[in-house]
Amino acid sequence: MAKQSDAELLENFGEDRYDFHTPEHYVFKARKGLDEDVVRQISAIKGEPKWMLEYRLKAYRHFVKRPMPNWGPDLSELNFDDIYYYIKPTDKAGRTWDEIPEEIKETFDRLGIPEAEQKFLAGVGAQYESEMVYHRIQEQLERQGVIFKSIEDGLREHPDLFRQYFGKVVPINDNKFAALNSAVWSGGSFVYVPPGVEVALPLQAYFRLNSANIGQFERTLIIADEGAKVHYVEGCTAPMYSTESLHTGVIEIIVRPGAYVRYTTIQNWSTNVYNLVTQRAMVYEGATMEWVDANMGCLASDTALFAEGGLKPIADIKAGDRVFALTPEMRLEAHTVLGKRYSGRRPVFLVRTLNHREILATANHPFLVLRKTGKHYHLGWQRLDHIQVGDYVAISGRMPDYGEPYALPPAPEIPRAHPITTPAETTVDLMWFLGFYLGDGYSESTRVNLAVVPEDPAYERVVELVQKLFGKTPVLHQGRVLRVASAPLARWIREIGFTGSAREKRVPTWVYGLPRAQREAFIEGYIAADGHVRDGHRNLSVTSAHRALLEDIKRLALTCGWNPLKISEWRRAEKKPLGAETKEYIHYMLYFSDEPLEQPVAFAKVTAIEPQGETDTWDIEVEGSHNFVAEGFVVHNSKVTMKYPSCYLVGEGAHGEILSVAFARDGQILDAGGKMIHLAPNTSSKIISKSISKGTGRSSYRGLLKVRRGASNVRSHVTCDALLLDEASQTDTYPYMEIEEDDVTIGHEASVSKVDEDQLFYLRSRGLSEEEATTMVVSGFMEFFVKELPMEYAIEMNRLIRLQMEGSVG
Amino acid sequence: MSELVIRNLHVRVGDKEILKGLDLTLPQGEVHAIMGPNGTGKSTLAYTLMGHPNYEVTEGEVIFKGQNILELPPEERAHLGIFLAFQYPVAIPGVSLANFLRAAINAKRKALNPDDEGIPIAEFRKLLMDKMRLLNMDPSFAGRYLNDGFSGGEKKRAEILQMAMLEPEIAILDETDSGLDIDALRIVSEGVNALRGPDLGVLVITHYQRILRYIQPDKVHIMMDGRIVESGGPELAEHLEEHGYDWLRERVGA
Repeated sequence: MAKQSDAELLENFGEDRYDFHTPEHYVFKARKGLDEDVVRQISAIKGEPKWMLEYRLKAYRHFVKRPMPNWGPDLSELNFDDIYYYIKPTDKAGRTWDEIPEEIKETFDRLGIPEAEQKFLAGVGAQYESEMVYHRIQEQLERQGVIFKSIEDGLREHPDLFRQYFGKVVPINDNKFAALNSAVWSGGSFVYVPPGVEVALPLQAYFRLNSANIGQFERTLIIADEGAKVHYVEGCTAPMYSTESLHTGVIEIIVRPGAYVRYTTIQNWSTNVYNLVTQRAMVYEGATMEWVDANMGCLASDTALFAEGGLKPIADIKAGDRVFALTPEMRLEAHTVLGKRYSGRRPVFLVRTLNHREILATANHPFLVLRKTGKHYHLGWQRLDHIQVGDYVAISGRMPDYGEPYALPPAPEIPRAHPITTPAETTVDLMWFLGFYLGDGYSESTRVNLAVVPEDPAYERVVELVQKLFGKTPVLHQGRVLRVASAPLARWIREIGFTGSAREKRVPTWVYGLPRAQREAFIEGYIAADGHVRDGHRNLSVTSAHRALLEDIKRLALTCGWNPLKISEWRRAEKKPLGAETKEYIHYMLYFSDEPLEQPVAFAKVTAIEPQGETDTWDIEVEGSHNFVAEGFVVHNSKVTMKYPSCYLVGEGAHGEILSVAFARDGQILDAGGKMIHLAPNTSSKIISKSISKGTGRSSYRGLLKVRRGASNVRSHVTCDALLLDEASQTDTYPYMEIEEDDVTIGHEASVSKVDEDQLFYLRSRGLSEEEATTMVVSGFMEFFVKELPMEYAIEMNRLIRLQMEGSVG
Repeated sequence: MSELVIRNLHVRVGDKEILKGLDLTLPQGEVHAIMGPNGTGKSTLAYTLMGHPNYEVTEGEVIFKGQNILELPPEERAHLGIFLAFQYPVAIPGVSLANFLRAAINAKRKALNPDDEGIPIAEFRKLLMDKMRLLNMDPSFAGRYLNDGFSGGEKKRAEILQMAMLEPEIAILDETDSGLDIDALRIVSEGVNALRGPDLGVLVITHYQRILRYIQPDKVHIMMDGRIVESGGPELAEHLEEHGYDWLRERVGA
């Protein structure tokens, strides 16, 4: 991580979350992208006062100016132009339960979430019995003078109170995402607790959610007046199911002198949504603020998948296409592409393996890696920036035969030209012929030429195929070119994608979708034209003046389970008989290994990882899979959650606490922690962060403890405990401290532990299965956190832990 | 009435053979003691009977209820009624003794009857309180995290509490007396004695004869160099107390 100045760190240390996910589900939405008109439209729909519109516009302008944060996890995949910024609540005519993907429904069922909540989560059934419960709570609270409303109602019904506090804790210019939220916020809660009032039950956002759908740009404002006490619980433990790619919330909390606020979040990310939330509390004299924050990994076998490159160019991939993904049984299976997203121009790296597979990928892109740790090899996902030369990465081998013959148009009718019949769909013979044509063929307007001499072993087959396929007999011209005089054939060949000169020809994309036998015939035809075994070499190679064509052939060969090797450049100075002078000619050669890959997946040693500048990148999302085969590599989608609740201890004697847990599963990156800013004397704070990493999950603690000059007698304690469930999982700790005062007491503890064999044996000896035993150790690790939760959440949390652990053993 | 029959048991840890053909039969309803000097493989026997993965059986069998239990994972041995009171119980922070015991009881019930819905809370609490009283344990103990911050004596008492709750048919007490003062030893022993009955076979593994004054064994076996070299009645323990192991060493040439 780049070193930054204090100011930058503080400024940028926004607390955020982001998301991407399944495309195109919402019914009501504004157009994509953001400009002032969209902001005006949002404000108008909500019927807001003028000051709020102006506030939004000001925030929008700041958002546009502000650069992306350059610290922490990589956010460069975000594309602000590809997002819907306003979605109408879907309470009436919204989606139905039936539209929710099966695996999400299953997760609800396994969680034991009642039907009502399921319906609510599906965006329908807003008038459920929870509404009645909400009303009962409402009545009781109103008697105490407590306000608990949607943020929109708060603005409408309590304009003065609202304006007094809104945007004061997290100002527009705090960070880019806070600015974005300030411009387009929609949904969220408004809570005010009058002086001295203690709210006995936790206020649960769930009850309020029914009346105003919390969207992706949630805004919550909580004010606990002097001596007041309140516990606010956000979210429910059902998986967050989102159709949008970016979630940016702002939570502002004001804890007035002597007051107490606890804010509990349990989030369970089911998707690949990038999720950035700015959560901040301003804590006054003698007041206490506690953040309790849980981030669980994706629960449902999450769906999204990203890849660069593919069996066919990723830019050509569209929803409904079939691509390959690796199953847990290490087989390759075709999965349907759900959608594609442009990720902008981003820095990419070239990864090359010993057998010359090459792919361009961004630094955060996970690959399937086989790595030796101690005595054992471990298979797991690693981000590219954590892969080193010498590691083994998974490459695809022999894939299932997925293809189908391609339907071809009839040959065009040309006036005065003799009509011909061409095959209605591709065949092995036709593909061999087209492969040969790709290598040694060219067309003029009235004829097709194939440069082949009678001594060539391919000669007979070419003659035979022309007769068989098109009913024409080629004529040998000048002893070195076979000519087929047919204008319709020449045009037909161009129409099906074989155009251009020797330096322009490419493999048409439809070829990649053919049955294997046809693809192989095509390559064999091409090799018959351009291939040879050089003296002293064992391996077959093909030569072309056109490098991109060889790359196409290589990619096609990969789909057949062949093992193409490197493409090398070959320069030669030559004076052609008719040329005036000596010229340098550049040729390229593609070698093939004589050892084909029989297994679906093989591992190849990485020989180079090199920066390759910036290029356009795409993400695709694939049904029911985390991974994707791209350029013969097995790669994983990437996902990031970032969250750092913060307390600004501005009054003497203020106290802040942050308890957070994170559970990162395979391929997941959780970056969580907290920020404590001591700005007044005699303030105290405590941060406890616990993380669990399973499989190749990676969780990080990132914390900032800052003590400003003048804040004397500050006490603070930071504890970071990490539990690793297996050899491949990882954890990182980034504790930043900036202390400007001498009179402070600061403690910091960090521990990393593993579930050890003796613990498991002990529990198993009492009758628990290995999975039950592991789950018990994990539950114990989380216990400190769970016991802080309201009862029903504690139960849910324990269920979640069990779900996370399911299938983790054996 | 079943018995635990150990035949020609050979066990290796790493490259080293520890048990070298051990034979022993423990009927339910009896208490047998295994004594022997340090390093003769007493704890290896305990761990092997329970199925610790680091102990590799190279030969022999252990039959209980008609099955060779060596083929079963630890949890299935537990379900069958085998229990090991550990010499060094490990801590499981964050998991209360009560929650753990309930999970263990339910795991066993479920294994015996897949439709079992677990022990009702009230019944569990009553059972737990009864057994804790028996072991002179404060009720607050149930809420403490399993072995986390327990003193040596508390750990051993917690082991016997687990034994009392899980109602095994064969219990192996691995050096349960080590690290206990005389009062704790008496309490633990009384607990074990209270559980004695026709359905329970106990194997008391110990270095000292001390515990056998409180838990009267039906038989005493002496183990040396990975084998049982001498078996007899309770008087054998007393003989050892007086004469030590040297006479036996000479006899077996160890």
